[in-house]
Amino acid sequence: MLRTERMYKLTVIGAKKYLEEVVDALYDLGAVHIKEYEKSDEFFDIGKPFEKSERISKLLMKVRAILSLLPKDVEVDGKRAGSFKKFDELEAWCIEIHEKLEKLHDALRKYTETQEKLKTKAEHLKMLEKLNLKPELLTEYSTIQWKIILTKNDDLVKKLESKAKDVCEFRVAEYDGGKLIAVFYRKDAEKKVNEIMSNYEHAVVELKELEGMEGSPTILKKEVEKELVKVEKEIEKLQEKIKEIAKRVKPILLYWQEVLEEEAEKAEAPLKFATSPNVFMLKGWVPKKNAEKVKKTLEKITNKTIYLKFEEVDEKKENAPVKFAHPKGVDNFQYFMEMYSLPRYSEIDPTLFVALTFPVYFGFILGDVGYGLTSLIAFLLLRQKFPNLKKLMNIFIFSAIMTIVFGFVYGEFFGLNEIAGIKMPVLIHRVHETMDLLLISVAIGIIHVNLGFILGIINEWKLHGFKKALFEKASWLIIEGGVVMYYLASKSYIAIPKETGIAVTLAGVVMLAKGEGIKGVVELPTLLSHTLSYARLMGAGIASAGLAMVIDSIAGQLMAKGSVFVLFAILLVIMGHVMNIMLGIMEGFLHSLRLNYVEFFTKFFIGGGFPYNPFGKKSKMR
Amino acid sequence: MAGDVGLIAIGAGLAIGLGAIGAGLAEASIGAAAVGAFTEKEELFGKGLIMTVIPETLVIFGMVIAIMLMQLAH
Repeated sequence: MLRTERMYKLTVIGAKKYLEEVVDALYDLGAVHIKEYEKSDEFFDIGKPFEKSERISKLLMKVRAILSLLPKDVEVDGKRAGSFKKFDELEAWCIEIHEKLEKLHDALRKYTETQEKLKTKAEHLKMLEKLNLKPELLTEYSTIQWKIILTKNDDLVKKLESKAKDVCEFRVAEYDGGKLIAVFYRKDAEKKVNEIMSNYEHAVVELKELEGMEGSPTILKKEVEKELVKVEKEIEKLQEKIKEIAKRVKPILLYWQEVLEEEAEKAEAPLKFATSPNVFMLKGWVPKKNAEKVKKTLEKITNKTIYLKFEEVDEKKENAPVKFAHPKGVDNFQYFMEMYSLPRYSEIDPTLFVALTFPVYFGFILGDVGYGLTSLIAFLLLRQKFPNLKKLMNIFIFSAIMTIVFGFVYGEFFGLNEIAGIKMPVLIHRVHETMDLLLISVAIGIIHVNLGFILGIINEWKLHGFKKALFEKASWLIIEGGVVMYYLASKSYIAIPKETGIAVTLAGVVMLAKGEGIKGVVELPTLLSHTLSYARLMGAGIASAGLAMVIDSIAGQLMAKGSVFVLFAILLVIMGHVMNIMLGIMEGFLHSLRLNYVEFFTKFFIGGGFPYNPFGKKSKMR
Repeated sequence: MAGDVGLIAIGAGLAIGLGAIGAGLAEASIGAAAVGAFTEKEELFGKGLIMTVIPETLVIFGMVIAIMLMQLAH
């Protein structure tokens, strides 16, 4: 529990003819974290992907291409394998489906284009209908030019009337909330007319697609609309066809997409291996508990013609992947490690300590039976609503339970000292016994910080030997011891001269200077500041309790006034406490986390481990 | 004695208030930098959070002093 999952360093050497079988077996086992081979000697090269790799990726691309052609709103239940015995059959089927779909999409595209054209035609004919103009009139003349424009500005018409009456003729109709104007003007007056129009915002309507049409716009429009209905029916038919195909092929395609993705991963696995013309070699790590199974499987498929070496990891020199090994409950707190940094393989995994301290600190700060119950319910609901935040929500649920426990210690229920009229016993009164609470907080700090130093000694001892552990980490404890001795002696609790304490402290400082250099001596004041920092447990708590009491007392005064004020009082109680709970949760979370990250971790934690990511199906799940 | 209590109260208020101003000034610039780093690289959230809350200790010291001063007043 205090270490991450122990691993063996694994080396596999085998004949190349078994390479594919070995890759398949490793994939199914999903237990070996493969270390990528970096070309480093004259015997081994980086492996090449299997021959089938290219084919598989092409097929995968085809499958994905078809999937992209299918409408997204087609729901399917599950995946089906279909009846393909070989990749050949699948490929042929894919090509067939792809061609069919492309043809349908081509046809669909053409029809949609026609639909668009017909729509504009119908609209333009509608305009002519409003203007009462026949389309054949809109042709080229030798002395006259015309323009059809849309504008929202009525002044344009007035201006044309007053300024250009002599050179132009126009018709006006209401259209789409604006004015539709057909202007016929003399060619030599073009400049003048354009000048007038350019002063007002307008849009020129292009009518190219009406060329060659003759007759009443009303009748023409009806014809166009008839055609439009026909085209829309065709489009619907095509979409229906595509949907039908989608319903049939989507489950099969989804199934094969997954299979091909797996196969592609397998086919590219040799890129991580070292290979010579006849032999392959791979290095990696495997959890100790899986070693036996890996050994048996690989020996079985190669008829014992494979070389397997399971070595202990040399923690002083090597790194290994990190896989947490925690019982249920504690595993939720891995979230905080992932947020900070994974521990190294060789060091103590502090997750258990975080799991023990975080909810307690949280409860210590928020500490209120009512707040605890409310937030417990809220977090239970949130856990259901957001399954991907499950770990974090579980952490909060533990914290909410501790909040209730501390609520009983402080005797607080929504800031009051009673639950439904029954007075609660008070072990520590938060607002009146601040000094006691401060001492408890700092005492917790002393324990937590020193636990950090002890873990630091263990880590250093293991990695760099006793001497380093003594100078770098144990020296802190010696300094602390010296200060305590001096204090006890000066108050004559123990019968030694005060100078002994000073001597021990100085000895500790010298050791620290030797171990960590001047940096260590500069850091000395943190001994005091980090311990006092735990006073936040009390501080943040009093702030939250104080606010709760203020809300309750103001509400009580309002209640006493009666009438409308009762309503205000209820509102104040609800809003005030909701706000205070949210503030309290944020404070509790940040401070509890910070005490772990800053005050505790800095004493021993190195971090920078890399996660265990085994080759196999599971690696995709991550 | 009444005047002394008033002065003690002012002293306690100054201790915590000035500490809070200091912490606020420090956290403002650290927080801005941390958020900048966090948007570039999401893994830095944990470290950014720690850096941001480090100056908070100032307020805690102020609070400890304030509480000790208030004890004098009693």
